[in-house]
Amino acid sequence: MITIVSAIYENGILRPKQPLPLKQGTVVEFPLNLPEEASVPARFSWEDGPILALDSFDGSVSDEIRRQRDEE
Amino acid sequence: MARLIPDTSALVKLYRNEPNSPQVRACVHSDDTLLIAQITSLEIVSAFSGLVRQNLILPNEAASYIRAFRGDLARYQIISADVYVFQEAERLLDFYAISHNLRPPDSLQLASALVEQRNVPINAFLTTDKVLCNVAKSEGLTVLP
Repeated sequence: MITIVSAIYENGILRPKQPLPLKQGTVVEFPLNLPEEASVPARFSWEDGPILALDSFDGSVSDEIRRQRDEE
Repeated sequence: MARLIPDTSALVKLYRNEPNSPQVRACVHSDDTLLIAQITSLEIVSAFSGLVRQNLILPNEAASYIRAFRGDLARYQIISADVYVFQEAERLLDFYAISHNLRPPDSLQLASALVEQRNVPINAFLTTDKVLCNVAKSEGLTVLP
């Protein structure tokens, strides 16, 4: 089901303007309609940026990079 | 306001919570300039695709990470893999391929950092890869974390 909602971006969190009919912990993906004036700053902070938690793999992607580099 | 060059092994830790992610993130501050080797884009896609092939993550999960990285590309300075980088990569392989197990992708990562360092000094090379860490230190770079 596709629902269009408005949200405000504050301190690294996208906060919907109205309640969403979702269970706690539900992961959703959505296209983001960026207004012209919301230009990305030239510099950005990793300190308060969210790390993406998109998978349940508990290993290291860095190990996979090493494995591929070592492939003959 | 540091100039930092993360290799792919360090860069993925800015996007994903895994061992050494906090240490890598602690090295990067809001006013730092991040430069990445051109091969990094390929290694990111290849790494997440490899995990999909091994059924460790789902295709849409890999696609989301790749999309996030590509969405940030404008925020990085890309070090082109030009003839100078390749010449330097060849030199590195000549020196370290046997003794340190340096591989072509390693050599391109490190060569990019060394060529950039000659143009405008960098503050640190970020990597969590032992091979790259050892060779980068041998080449006189400051290595973090």
